[in-house]
Amino acid sequence: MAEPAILTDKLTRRFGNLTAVDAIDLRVEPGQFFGFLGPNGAGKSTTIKMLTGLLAPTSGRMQILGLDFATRPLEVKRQVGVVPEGMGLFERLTGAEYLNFVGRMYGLDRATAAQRAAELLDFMQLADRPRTLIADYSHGMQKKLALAAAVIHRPRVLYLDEPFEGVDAIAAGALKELLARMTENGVTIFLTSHVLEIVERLCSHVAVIHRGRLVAQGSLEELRAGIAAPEGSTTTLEQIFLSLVGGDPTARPSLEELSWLTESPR
Amino acid sequence: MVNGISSLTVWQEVALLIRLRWRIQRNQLRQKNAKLELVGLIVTGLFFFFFVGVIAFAFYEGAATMTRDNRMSWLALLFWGVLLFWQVFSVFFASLTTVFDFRTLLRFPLHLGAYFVMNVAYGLADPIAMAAVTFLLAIVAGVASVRPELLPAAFAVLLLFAFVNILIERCIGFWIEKLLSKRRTREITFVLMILGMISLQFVVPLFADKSKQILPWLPRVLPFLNGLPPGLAGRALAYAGSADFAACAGNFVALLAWAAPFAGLLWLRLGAQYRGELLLESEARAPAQRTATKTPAKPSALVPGEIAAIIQKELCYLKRNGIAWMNLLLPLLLVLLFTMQSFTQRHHGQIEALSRSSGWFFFGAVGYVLLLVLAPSYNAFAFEGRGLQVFFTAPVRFRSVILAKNLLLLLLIAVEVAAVLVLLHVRGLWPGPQQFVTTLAAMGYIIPAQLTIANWASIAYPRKLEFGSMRNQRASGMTVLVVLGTYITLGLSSFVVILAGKWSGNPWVSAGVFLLLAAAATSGYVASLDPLSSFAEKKREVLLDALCK
Repeated sequence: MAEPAILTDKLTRRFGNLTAVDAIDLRVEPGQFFGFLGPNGAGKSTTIKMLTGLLAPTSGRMQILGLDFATRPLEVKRQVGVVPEGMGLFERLTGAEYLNFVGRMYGLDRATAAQRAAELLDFMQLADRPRTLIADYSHGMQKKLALAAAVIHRPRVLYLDEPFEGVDAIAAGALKELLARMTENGVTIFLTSHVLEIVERLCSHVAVIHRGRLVAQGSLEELRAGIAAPEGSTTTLEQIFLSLVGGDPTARPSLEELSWLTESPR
Repeated sequence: MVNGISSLTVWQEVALLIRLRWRIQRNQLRQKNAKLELVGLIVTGLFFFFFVGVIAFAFYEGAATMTRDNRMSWLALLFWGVLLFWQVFSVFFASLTTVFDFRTLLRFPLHLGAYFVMNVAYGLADPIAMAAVTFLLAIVAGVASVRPELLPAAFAVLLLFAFVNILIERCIGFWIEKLLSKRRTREITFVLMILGMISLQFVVPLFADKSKQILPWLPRVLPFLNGLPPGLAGRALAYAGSADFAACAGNFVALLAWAAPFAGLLWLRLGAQYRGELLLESEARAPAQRTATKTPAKPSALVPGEIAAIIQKELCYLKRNGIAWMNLLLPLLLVLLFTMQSFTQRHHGQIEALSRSSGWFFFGAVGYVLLLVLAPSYNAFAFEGRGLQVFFTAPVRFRSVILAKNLLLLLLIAVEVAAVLVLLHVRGLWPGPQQFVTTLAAMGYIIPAQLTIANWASIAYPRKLEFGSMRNQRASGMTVLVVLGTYITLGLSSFVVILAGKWSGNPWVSAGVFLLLAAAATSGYVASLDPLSSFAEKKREVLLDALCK
């Protein structure tokens, strides 16, 4: 049996007295399109930062494709692509310069980096503004460029944080197709998004984190099996999500307190 | 009031903004490194206050003497000093001041009046403005110490003169910022500045030669200067001193009139910002073309791919950083200036004295090159922004990042030093073999020593800076202290080594000692790379927190 693409063992991160991620055990198999969900402040970003090497865990272990992150960080990073929080772009480069740079940082030779950069820019519909600095790209264009940079070295594990936010419908469609093809070829995609419909449509497996702890993990079917659906309908991911974290009164605030906003003006 | 909402007056908005600014300032102290930062600021602030205190005393003495000698019309000279200090230094030190960008508040229903008032008032929250106001207070104190009855008039003139200066400074600052925001205009401004500086170098020797013909013309020009703000301020006080209150009021009103055009220009500028002006860095959209991307120039095959990639990226950044270009050109201009002065001196029969000192000209020029080229290395990640995350997610050790940045600096220094040598050769000031070798050996000591400390400071006390922005471009207070400490230590040790060569009677002793120091510094640098790489990994949260937000 192949090694899991992502495996964490009691992964924990504390910030002073706050435990942002509390001993989570994640297991993601190769080729899975994996959705990582949770309310704001649940620990999603902290987990991704640890999995991508941007943050050191307080305790626990991480293995990516069977490689221990603590002892073999460079080998792990070579296999991984990431769109970090805020996209991590060098804003004073042009799109082509940035993709060439990232390709070279991941060990591609000059010609390959340049060729792939050109192809990715074409695919992302960014090739028509060769002299524009990234600083002057729109948010959606920056997002597409960050995605292009994340895949330029053909990673085996791809971390995507809200990948379609700000991306137009045409590009988003093409991207979804690309990502689906990648998973068919064994690439593991670890995606976080607050748009549950996207996660439900794309992901085969899901984990839900709440207050730093994993409260559910498994295939969509497995998670659905645990929730009673209304008669004649299938349980949606939103219903699953709300049943897991929505029961917490602090997770879903009451509208009664905002009556001045919800009542019609006199 | 509708639905609990009432419209605020301009002054209520101003009060809200002051409270907001205070809270931001207070909350900044809770950030990581904030206490150390505060210590650094206090120490550098003390140096600044000492400097300001000394000059303020000179202003006080000057004003008191002029008043005592009944030459109050000369007070205009002091006001000229304050005006030049305020306006010139504000531009030069704009990058070191911390200014809150009120544009971020324009999404709120803020009156243009409140926006204008806050931007003008913030002109006083600037070290240069504070120093200038201190000088003005010293002038008032000097006048009042001799003639206490003039205190109200002197104070009124101070307030008005300070107000006019703030408007001028804000006006210049905002218009320059607009000018520098576009790459094309920035390049043109940059070229004009360089041309101006070069022209100045020709004007100074010309003035020195023709001073006898020019000086008699000055008294004819000076009356025209009376109509300018410093002249009006000085004359208002002088008339108050001679109890000619009508003339005093006339000058006071004329000074007030100067506020109008600058307030108008500033209103125009701030109005454009208020209406949502967007200053873009790059050129207008290029015509659509779906060609393959241009392959970047081939870097040296001598370095590994990731280091070459970082050098390539740094070169792209350098290409788009006008301030960096200025730093690179300044040493060469300075060499040109000094060689021109020495050229003039030769014609005045001082060849012997010059030939004694010209041997060390190369040493001094290289020192200046190192000072300017290495200064940014103390905050080496300042311009990375969110891109810094790539250095931690990509499969590279942080030592490669440090090494790439250092290698580029070495390359720049080599080019600069070669250009200095060419200039010296053209000017006939080529250094002797002993000075040449000593200088190169000293470089071997100073560069690795500085880079080791600078790399550490860049990781320990990072501070985000932005391209094209004139303000908020100050390094961390601790970095300033580290830089000062390093310069003093390296400067003093180099001085001792040079003196040792002179005392020993063997001029090659200095070169020998520098070579030993260079070997030690280089070993230290090489040994520091791995620990610094681990240090960066440990400090990555501080780095990302400081530079990516």
